[in-house]
Amino acid sequence: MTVPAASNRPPVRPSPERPPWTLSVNGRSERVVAAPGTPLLWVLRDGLGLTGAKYGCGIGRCGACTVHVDGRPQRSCLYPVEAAAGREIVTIEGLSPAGDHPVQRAWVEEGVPQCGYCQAGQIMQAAALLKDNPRPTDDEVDAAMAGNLCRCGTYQRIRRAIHRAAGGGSPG
Amino acid sequence: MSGSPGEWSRRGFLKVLAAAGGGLVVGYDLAGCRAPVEPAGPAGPAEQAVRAHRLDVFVEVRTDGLVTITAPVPEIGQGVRTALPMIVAEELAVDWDDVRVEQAPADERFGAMSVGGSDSVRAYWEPLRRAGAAARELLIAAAAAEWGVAAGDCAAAGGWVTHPPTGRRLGYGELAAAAAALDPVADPPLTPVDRFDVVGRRIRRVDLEPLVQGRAVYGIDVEVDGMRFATVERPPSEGAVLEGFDAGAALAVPGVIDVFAIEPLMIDDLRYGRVRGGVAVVADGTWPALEGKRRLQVRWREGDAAEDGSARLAERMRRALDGPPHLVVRDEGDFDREWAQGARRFEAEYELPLLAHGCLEPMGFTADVRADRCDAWGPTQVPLRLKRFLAAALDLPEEAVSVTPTLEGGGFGRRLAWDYGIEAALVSRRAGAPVKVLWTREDDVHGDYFRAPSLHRLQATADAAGRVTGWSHHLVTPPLNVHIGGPEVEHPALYDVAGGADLPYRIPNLRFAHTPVDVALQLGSWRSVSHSFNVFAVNSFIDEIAAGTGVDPLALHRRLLGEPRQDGARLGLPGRRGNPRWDTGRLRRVLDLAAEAAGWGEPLPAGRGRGIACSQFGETYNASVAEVEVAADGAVRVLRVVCAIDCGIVVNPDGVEAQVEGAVTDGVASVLQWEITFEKGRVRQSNFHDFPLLRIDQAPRVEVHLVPSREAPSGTGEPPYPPVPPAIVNAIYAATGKRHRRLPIS
Repeated sequence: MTVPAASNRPPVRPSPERPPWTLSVNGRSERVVAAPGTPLLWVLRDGLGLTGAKYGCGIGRCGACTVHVDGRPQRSCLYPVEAAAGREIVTIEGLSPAGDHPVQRAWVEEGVPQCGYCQAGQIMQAAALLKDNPRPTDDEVDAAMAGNLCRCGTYQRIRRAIHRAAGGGSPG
Repeated sequence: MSGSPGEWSRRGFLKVLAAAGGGLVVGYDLAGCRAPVEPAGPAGPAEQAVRAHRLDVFVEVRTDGLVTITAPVPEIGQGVRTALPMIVAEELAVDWDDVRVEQAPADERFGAMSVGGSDSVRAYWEPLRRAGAAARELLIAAAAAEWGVAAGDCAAAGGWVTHPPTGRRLGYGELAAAAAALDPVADPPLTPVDRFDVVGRRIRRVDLEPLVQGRAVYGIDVEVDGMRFATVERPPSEGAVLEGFDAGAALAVPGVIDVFAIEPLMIDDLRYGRVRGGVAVVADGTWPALEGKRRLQVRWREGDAAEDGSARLAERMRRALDGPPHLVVRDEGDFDREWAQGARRFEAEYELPLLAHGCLEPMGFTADVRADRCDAWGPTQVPLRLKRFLAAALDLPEEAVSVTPTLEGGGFGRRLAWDYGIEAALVSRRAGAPVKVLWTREDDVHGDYFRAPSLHRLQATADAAGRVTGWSHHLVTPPLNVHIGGPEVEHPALYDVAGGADLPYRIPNLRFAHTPVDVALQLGSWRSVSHSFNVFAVNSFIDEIAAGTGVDPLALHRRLLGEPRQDGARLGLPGRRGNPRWDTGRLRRVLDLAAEAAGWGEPLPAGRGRGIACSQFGETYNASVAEVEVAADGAVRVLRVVCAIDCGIVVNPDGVEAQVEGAVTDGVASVLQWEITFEKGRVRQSNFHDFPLLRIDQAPRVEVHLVPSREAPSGTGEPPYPPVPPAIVNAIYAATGKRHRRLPIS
């Protein structure tokens, strides 16, 4: 039994109140229509059908909406569309061409997800961490990931998966 | 499912039908086979009322050899989409790599489908084994007929039927069509436990790839043709009535299409399915729907509930605790006499707060309501109940309603209520279009069905030798069954006493009493229900008695459990709660296992301490040893929690361990920081800044030890939670000498 997750819903027509914006998302140039101030999260989800980034709190407190903007992890629920225009946006769908980024592979190998809802945000945060710090310690992992909440309690596996993606065991 | 049920031959409970592609489809009628108990969670009479009589589960063997197994209950993160098909695959004797898993739609053929009471694996264990075994026997029979040999000389393994005397073999795919023409045997032989190959293996969950790639579909991701987006402004306090609203500013938001009132609705007096009413904002996108809601001007007429709050509730609970108990649930010996003459007396009170669920995916559902039918998609723990009540709410026949469970961003008991599914349908009907309703985080916190608050007084006596001779537990809490049970409430206290009244300890004078209080908030099931508070009080108090009598807590636990024995108590309540059974040997075993693995008794540096606790939930036995560090400023850090669990046969060790890891995280959060309070009828918390989930830098190391078992599986979602909070609080006492009797400790 499949769940419908795509439709031919007509795009919103541009108007003075909702102008068009050109965004670079996952290496593609995309035209979206949104009122200034619209959070990037809803532009991605409703406008472009990129639903990997999730809504959890709307106030930047949970990290489920994390995407990369110019290579930095950002909370897309607070990131206005006008600020995103002209920047390079990468979502979980575009993290790697075949969905096999080392962090994604490590997440599967370690069986991290339970409900999985927060995990796209966790993975984007972890991928940004490893780009800056290829061999983080447990404390560095904790510091970098402390803004990404998981209600199911997968933190221990997240630590393991990040160390695995970093190419080694736990450095402690 | 590709095989549409048409004509089937039927003998006993089994049925066979031809799949669309010429393959084999086997169903197993669950009627009369489901364990004759109500789930430990919140089901109760409502569940009984909607549980169907004719039920089945399908296994499809395609002609190319691939096997599709339908996962009959929704996946809320507990791994059942993997564990349940593993049970079928075991009996079918098929390679796990050849198995595909499909999620069942809401349909009585798939059983109760309810995710509650840690019941999924327990309830489906036997029927799924039989379904798999029946399919295997049919394939063997088809091969035997093809070869003209006795079926008893054939064997099945790895997706092949073989005839060892001649070395012939046929793949399941080649046999599927012939097998579909045969009558199944009524009672297929089941694989002996010691020959299990799939069950017990550490198998990676089936849905991980799409999940880590952002392709998995949760409720919030549903998108149907012509869909609109909606938010709802709901009553600020219990019983508030909509007086009027000004939609002007909302309608001025670009993208807002319509604003209208939703009438309150409650069917069969079931609060779990009620729509509280309010004002809906329908838009062409989520953001305009949110902006429109923010600009709404709504006038409410509030009732008495707006006078209530946490301070008043605390006064009511205090008065109830100090007054005579309302209902004595268990009374053995003569506690009052023992209290009057006991050599040593102990007394303590424990207080636990209201809790929210905080599922990371907030509530919400998508519905497409037309004149003659309703289709709905979303996260639910009770797809069948939602389907039934959608039909009632919309005045449609049940056949005209479909409910398709999506992945769910957590459940923890919240999605046992189906309020938000009905609400989405009412919004869709009025909007005349398919509508996805999003609850904001604030809506989710304010509109929760909270874990009930509780106040406990425990008293005990010990003789000169330190033996516990008397035990009394007076529990004050709002009766959960009044909140969720509807008009046929079996017993108001049914869900409140477990974990407290059913102690397996040999104490000659033992009493448990329950006194109800009112609270003007919605209450509901929360991971482990009453065990979540009773086990805290019991295990904290045992620790206090141990300290007071100068006995090591582990030694006191062992002494209370005594020699291994299987026994029970009659509580005078209906169902299995009324007659709890226990096996003190199994509880003792997890206690000893956790203690040994944790290094119980070994010295720790200053500022550190260990605490221990144990409990039984259904037939699952759990023990936890927590190790904490308390800084000079009093800040508590939980370093390590060692858990032992005996949940019968472990289907997927990886899944059980994940559940225990989650239970520990919840335990730490409930000790350190979780609390819901209210004032003037309004919940004061609103989002993760004031109801903070645990962060990774607060998460302890978790070690899980599984007890090998030949008993039937007994559930793991809730059982590991209850001992965790008391183990932590007992560890804080061991580290500092400070006893916390109220949660959270901050």
